[in-house]
Amino acid sequence: MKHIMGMYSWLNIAVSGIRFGPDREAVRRELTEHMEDKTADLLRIFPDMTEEEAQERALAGMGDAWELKKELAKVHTPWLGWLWRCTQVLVWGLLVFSLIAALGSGVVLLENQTYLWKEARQSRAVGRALYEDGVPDWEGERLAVLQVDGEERLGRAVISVSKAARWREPEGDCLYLRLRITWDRPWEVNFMAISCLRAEDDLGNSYEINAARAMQEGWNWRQRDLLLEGVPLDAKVLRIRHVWREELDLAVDLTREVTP
Amino acid sequence: MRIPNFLEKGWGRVKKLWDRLPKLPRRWRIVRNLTLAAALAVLVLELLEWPSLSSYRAFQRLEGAFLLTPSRLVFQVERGKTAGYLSEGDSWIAVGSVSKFDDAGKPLNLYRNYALLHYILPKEGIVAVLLPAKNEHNGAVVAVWGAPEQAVSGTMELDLKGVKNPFQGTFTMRSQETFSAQARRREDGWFIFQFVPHDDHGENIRCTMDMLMWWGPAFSWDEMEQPYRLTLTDGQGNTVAEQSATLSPAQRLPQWP
Repeated sequence: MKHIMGMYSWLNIAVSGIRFGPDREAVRRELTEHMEDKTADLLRIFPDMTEEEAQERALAGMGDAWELKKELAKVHTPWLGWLWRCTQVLVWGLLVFSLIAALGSGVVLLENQTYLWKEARQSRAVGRALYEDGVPDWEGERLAVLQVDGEERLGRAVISVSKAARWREPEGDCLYLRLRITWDRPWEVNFMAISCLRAEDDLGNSYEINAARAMQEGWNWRQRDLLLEGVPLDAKVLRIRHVWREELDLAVDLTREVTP
Repeated sequence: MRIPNFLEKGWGRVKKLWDRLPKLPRRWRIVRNLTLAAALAVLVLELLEWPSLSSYRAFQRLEGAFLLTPSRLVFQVERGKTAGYLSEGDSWIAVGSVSKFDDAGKPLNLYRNYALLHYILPKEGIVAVLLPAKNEHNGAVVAVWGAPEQAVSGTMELDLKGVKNPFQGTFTMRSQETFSAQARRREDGWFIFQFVPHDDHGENIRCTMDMLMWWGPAFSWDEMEQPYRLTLTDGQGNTVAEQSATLSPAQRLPQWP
């Protein structure tokens, strides 16, 4: 009994410098196992030795408990342990929170995403038909593909134009323009922002931006293949402006034709 | 209660798999957990549709959504669950409202800020805008921009007519009422006219302004188009500008992600 008490008090002293509880328990387990192994070794080597004696000798071989305490306290800093525990709580908390939130809007979000994927596939097909070698599913003939590029920053967003093509459709000649708005902050994205823009050509004609052949969206951007009806063939420059702000003046060169 | 066999086995398999995974040092476990937490935080925000933390942030977000940044907050008025905001940029004026509603029926029944842009107006001439929230007297607030530099004070008369009565049968209302308010030029050049509803109506008769501000900002476009007369005077009391016009009809632009 005395030697068991001695082992426990040795262990208690040795690990008492470790301030992070889970670490303290792990080290205590490790030291106990070590002591048990040592006892078993002694009993194997000296078969005549009693278990009590073997345990006492094993304990004596473990060294000074107070010295070990100092060493262990130096190695096991508590803040890393507590930080780890905090991140564990954070992860589990967020997991529970996201499951509750998913109960409310997960299905709707998934349905929306499925719809958006379908739309994106359709929009890519329309884009190929408008500016590349795709086949249109509407009546019309492509007159020319224009090489355009331009972007301008307006507040916390960037407005850019990357593709354009002139088309002849039953309603008349028109210009298709791929316009994208990219927001710095993803939570500000807004499909309706495009309705704040207007276009005017160098001949003095103004065009409302409200019709589009295709739409696409990303994490922080929205894009439309705008349809501008009645843009004359001799218009050389198209300017994109904001309805209420004067700062935006994005010029689109309509003269650089590329063979379709 | 006994745990079903298949659950016990399944859990055992998960535990085995977990034990077989290489154990990372504690520092790397912290890094892993933080990365996981960041991903989960984004997922939660996405599931909650990126709620805004305050009503002013909801208004700012809507300004950004309509490409109206950077701007400066000129005036705000708050009454109950609705706040009205007036901001200005270099060439425009924006007026919006933010109302708080809960997510009825959802497990996380959070109060959300729903923002609406009521007006976006270019800074041209003298501009008068009605803020879409009541002031502390339950009255309207009209802000005026573009007054001549000599103008130091002003008087505004507002004729309210054609306002719908949502409590027909319970309360009655006059078909037209005129309200008057005075204001002094602020340091930033704005005039803010604070109106007070009439309190001399008889029993079961509600003031037109009270009705308009209760009903109009949230539900009406054309009811906000009310005639006004503005007189601006200099330090000596001489009239420097007069304007008779109507307040703009509400545009009511929401965010459409």
